[in-house]
Amino acid sequence: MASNIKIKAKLSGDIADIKSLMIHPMETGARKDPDTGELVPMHHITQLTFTNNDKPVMVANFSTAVSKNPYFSFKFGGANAGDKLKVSWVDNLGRTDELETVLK
Amino acid sequence: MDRARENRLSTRLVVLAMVVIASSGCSTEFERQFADAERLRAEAAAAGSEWLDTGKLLDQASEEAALDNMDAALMLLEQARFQAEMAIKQGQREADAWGGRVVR
Amino acid sequence: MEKAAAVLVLCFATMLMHSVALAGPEEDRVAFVAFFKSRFPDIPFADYANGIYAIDRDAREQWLAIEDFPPYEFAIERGQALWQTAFPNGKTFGECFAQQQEDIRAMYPRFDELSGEVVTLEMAINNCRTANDQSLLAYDEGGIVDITAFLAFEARGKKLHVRVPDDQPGALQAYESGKRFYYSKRGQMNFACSDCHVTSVGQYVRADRLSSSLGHPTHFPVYRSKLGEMISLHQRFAGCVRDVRAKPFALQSTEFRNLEYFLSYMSNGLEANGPGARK
Repeated sequence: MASNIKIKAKLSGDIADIKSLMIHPMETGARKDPDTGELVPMHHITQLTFTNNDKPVMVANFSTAVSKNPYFSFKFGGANAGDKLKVSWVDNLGRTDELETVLK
Repeated sequence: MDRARENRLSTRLVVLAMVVIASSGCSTEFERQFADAERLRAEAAAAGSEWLDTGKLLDQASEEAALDNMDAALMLLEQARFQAEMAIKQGQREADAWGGRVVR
Repeated sequence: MEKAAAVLVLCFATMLMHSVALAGPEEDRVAFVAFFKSRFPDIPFADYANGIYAIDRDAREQWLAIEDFPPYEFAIERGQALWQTAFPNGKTFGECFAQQQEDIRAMYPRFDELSGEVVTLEMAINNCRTANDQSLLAYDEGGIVDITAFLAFEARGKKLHVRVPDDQPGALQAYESGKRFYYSKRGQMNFACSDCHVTSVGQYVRADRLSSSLGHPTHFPVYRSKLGEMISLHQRFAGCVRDVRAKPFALQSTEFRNLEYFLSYMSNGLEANGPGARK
């Protein structure tokens, strides 16, 4: 099954411009289900990590302030074509997802 | 949303039945007024001009009546009735008025 | 003197014939477009397909940033998978439609002579399921919205060309019914669609600017940030009807299909550019 993460990576010189979009409900735990009136349990990404050739280039700690289906973009230096970029996240229920791509 | 509506309609009828069984002195008065308000709501619905909260007000009225809160129940019925009457009038007025808004 | 009178009568008769020939949907559409042109002289016609982003500069910039990595891409992929998955009998959705994939979306809505009603893309998809002994997809659930997202994406660039055929009186009736719905006040708030999207276009309602109805149908289905989900045009209709505190009609009801028919005709000539991204 396809990953629920998408990455776009653009390389200019040695600066990599990374954009990512991921599917995740990002429930704060404070929202009520409109049909049942019960609180929807907290379920959100806690940490998002990008590694380039297995070296961490971005570690982001997410909390309840990030909304559903997060979009996250950043730049990092020292990148080269052919580098292996990997993104992975873990959420408060221990679930994970990841995606790998090659910088061009 | 439509499924919820259907559930509320059947709930409305069940609660009405409960009220009848509860054999309170003013329940017959409530039944009479409820039937009247519901008839008007249905008329507005048939004309395609029913307002959003009319049905909910009728439900709430039935719930109050089942708890023997007759004052509250009758007040809610009055509100439902008012909404239904206004909606009917609105539909009748708009049958003639809409043409004047057409962009020419 | 008599000759001048005859010329005058002839001129008048010609004018009358010309205006009668334009009467009906096309006359409505021309007037509709002219209204928005006079309200916003600097907006090119084609840009109305972008809805509020044609009018609101700030919102447009934010939207362009989002379009850099559109949130509806997942829906397109899911829709494509559904479209290409064969039914148990081995047939696929594509076989229900005579047109090429990219031409399907812009074909709808259309008036169907056999059934005597307006058929939308969503209905056509479900008709296809029925024809292949499959259950109907709910109109407010992912499946059907994902498929329309995929078809909308395939159709990008195709111009809307809704027809109200002369030889089918039911078609004109459906159009007029949709037009009447559009211009009728409803709900406790007592608003007609036109009150916001014609009369008050570009004005603020709380923190949002009102978009023009010209261009409304081109970019659906849309990903709504507010919901984190895709919604169809009829879901948006239902939301608007609810916002003016009237009881919403069912998705794919006669009322909403006729409304879509009218609105789509008004947007003829604009390019289909769905799926879209909105607040």
